[in-house]
Amino acid sequence: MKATVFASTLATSLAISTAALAADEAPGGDAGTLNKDKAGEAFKKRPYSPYADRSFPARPFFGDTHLHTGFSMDAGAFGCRLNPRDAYRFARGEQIIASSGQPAKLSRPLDFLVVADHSDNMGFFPDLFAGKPEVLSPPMGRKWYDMIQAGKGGEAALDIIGQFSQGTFPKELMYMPGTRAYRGAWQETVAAAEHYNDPGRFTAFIGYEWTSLDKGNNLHRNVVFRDNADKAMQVEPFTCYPPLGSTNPIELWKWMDAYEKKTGGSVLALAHNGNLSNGTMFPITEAFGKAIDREYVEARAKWERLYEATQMKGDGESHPFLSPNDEFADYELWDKGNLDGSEAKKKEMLEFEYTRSALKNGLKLEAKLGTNPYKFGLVGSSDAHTGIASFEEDNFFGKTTPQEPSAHRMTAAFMDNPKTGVKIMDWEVVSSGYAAVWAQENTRASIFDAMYRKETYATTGSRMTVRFFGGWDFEAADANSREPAVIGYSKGVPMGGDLYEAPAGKSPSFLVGAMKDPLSGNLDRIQVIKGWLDAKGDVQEKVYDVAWSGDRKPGADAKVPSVGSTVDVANATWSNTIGAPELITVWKDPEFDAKQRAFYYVRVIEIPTPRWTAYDAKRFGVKPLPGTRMTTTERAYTSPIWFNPAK
Amino acid sequence: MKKLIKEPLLHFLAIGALLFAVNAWRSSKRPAEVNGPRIEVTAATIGRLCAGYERQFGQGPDAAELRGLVTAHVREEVLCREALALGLDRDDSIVRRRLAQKMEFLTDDVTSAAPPEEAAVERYFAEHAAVYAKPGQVSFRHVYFSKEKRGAKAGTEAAECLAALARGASDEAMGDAFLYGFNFAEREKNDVTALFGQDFAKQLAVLPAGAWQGPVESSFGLHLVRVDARSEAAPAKLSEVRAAVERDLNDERRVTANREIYEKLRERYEVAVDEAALAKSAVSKTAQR
Repeated sequence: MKATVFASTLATSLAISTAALAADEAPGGDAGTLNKDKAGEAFKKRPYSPYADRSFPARPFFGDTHLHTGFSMDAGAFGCRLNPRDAYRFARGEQIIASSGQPAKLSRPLDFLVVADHSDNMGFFPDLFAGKPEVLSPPMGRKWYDMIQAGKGGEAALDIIGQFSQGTFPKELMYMPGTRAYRGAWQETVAAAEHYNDPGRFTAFIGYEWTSLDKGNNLHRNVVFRDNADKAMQVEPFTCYPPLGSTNPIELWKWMDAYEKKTGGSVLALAHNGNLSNGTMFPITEAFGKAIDREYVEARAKWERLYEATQMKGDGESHPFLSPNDEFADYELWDKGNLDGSEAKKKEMLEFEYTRSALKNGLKLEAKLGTNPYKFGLVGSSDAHTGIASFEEDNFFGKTTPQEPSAHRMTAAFMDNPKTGVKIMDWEVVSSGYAAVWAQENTRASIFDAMYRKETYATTGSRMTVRFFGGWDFEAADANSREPAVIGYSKGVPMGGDLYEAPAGKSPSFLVGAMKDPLSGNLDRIQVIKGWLDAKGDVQEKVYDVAWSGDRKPGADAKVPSVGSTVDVANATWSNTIGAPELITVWKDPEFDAKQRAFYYVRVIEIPTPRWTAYDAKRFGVKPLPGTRMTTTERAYTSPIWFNPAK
Repeated sequence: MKKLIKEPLLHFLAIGALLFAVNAWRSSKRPAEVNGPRIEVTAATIGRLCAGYERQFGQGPDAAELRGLVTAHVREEVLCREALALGLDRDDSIVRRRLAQKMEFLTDDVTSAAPPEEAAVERYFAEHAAVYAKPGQVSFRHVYFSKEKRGAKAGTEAAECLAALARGASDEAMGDAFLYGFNFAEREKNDVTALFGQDFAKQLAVLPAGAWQGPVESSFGLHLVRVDARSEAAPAKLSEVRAAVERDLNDERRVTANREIYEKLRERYEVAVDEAALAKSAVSKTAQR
């Protein structure tokens, strides 16, 4: 509702200012000619409507694109009793009772949520009464109908059961042999999203997870619908078991294509947890026994608009083995094996699992095949199996129901495969993350469209605000302008965008700024990460510190020294006496070569704050196991801006 | 057909039939024992397989694909019957929880099969008026003074600007960059809290309207603020929030009905817990706390 008002206010205010402009001009003389200087001046004046300077996205919307409820088989088996409705209610700020029986509430509502339950085992809607409209009229049916309407649904259901057991249920309603009659969880999932979608205030997306597991290697994708139930209900989620389903993503993309062709709707997919794919998430030579060809790279680029770069089962931005010069690469890693621990990790797998190396290899594939299959935007999300999208360190409800807050979750094992030696402890579960989306308004269409154009960033659970614009003309003074976003959009492209055709002698410049989450730690630094394809056809990367708090001086290696730490682990507290609440700068690539493909993305790092394990140790009085990480440095990763050299 | 599928009465009759089927199945012996080694793939089964395929791929299966679907169905049926005969469903927590979940689906369907009566909607709305009330809103402008940029001078510079604003100076060139901008129209308190933090939202709530005030401290730095308009929370009309009221009433009924049904069903059983074993098996956790 609010969003519609916003749009119409904007339109009206533009109309008013144009009209006012003409009126102003009239007394001067010739009303027919508009003096250009005066017109310019009038337009520079702030219009009456405070919304009028916000045709661009003015604030990020935060959400989770990847939440499971009790409808997912494994979540249900773990004891999750919450359903999609509960999940949407919690995300929009209501207090609910978690499956473990304790009350849960967010520090502040989320703006959107995708309940992405597993696609398999979702069932079909029974078509029991096709061609038998007469079943609508039995008197007994009318009686039950009236009971339900009056709120006596429980009685009606019991009465129905009673009629059955006594064999007095009307004959014409009887079970038709051969019809497997059970209602689909998919229908209920869609209905829940429809019920809680509240345009302008809270967006409940329809979606599902395609849970492809190939030899224990995680190739999952989440599918998000731009559409409402009228379109989404025309299909069933794509599954993994033959003959209907497949574990090969090519088949998922075909399903997506068929959906769009059939309904005229729109869907996009996000892959996640490349870190548990044992080298198969971002292939560069072959997948499922078939060479990576034009068809593969084009379909992947078309359908997989975003990648989930961080979540509970490990952060996936970068790995120290791949980025030995990046001292921040070693963050909340899960790099011991694949999803079920059936195969241990080998170093050579890592290149095909992490965000940064995929972005780099994408440049290589683009040079070879004409399309970059790994030109994705970045988001964080959770993969929680609790129905509870809460990933702040001091309000963490765990990955599965047994990991909801209790005295044991500090010491239990999450996975233990003695055969391969892959063992992961519960304390290693990461309280991460959220998807931040720069959309104009909080609606399915607007947020989806922003995801589609990749104007997104990932956070590890903190709600910091990050702006990132690239262009050819940004100057240092732009960082001091009062409204950087206005300059950003007018002189450049936002995160997720492309730069083409470098003007002669110019290097790309970037306007980058970040504000802290009001409830979390100050900011340590902003970094720009550049990846490029060099003259020899090899991929390269470099991390630049571009803005930082205080008067720290970069060392001989150009790196800014550590910000330090104020964390008091025993009391699970910290103070914002170090770091900065906001950082903004203009950065120009000092080593630009207009002939080389490149990408740039931003990493924002917070000062150290207590990790969820510190809050647990304090609140439950539990002694952590040796080696348990007790502090964290929350971060954000933006979608890249790509530079495409002239052909 | 589509219209027919939407008919709520039909829905719960369908559920009725389903219950009957479940009941019939429950009271019968295991299928393999009853039907012998015969698996019938009837027209209805084939129709269902086709419909399922079409829902996934947008068009029906060709002959080879359909043959594949039937083969897969037969395989599933064989394994399923053998598994049931072996009782593999009995100790499987996934199967058991799924069945329990399906029982709740039934109740859910019954309770939402008919729209609630108007009187019930009105009563629910009246009882929960506070939930549906339109939250208070505030419209304000601000000028931001970054402590990061100005250091200790931020406070005095803000005060100087405040004096200038009082003399009628424009706020448009004052202060520092702020990523969210400077005009905030008709914002709810939640929204202000999300953007500026709790302390700022609290202070803003009590600032008098009409004149520049401050500096007010936020999580980011100092702000001069002018509140332009403020509206208090106001009750909503039912017509404005009807969809939400009906949704919430239905949800409440669904929860109540599920509980009632469970309680009634539970009454049919006599439960005997081995209390001695329970006491012996429990672990003392006092040491951990």
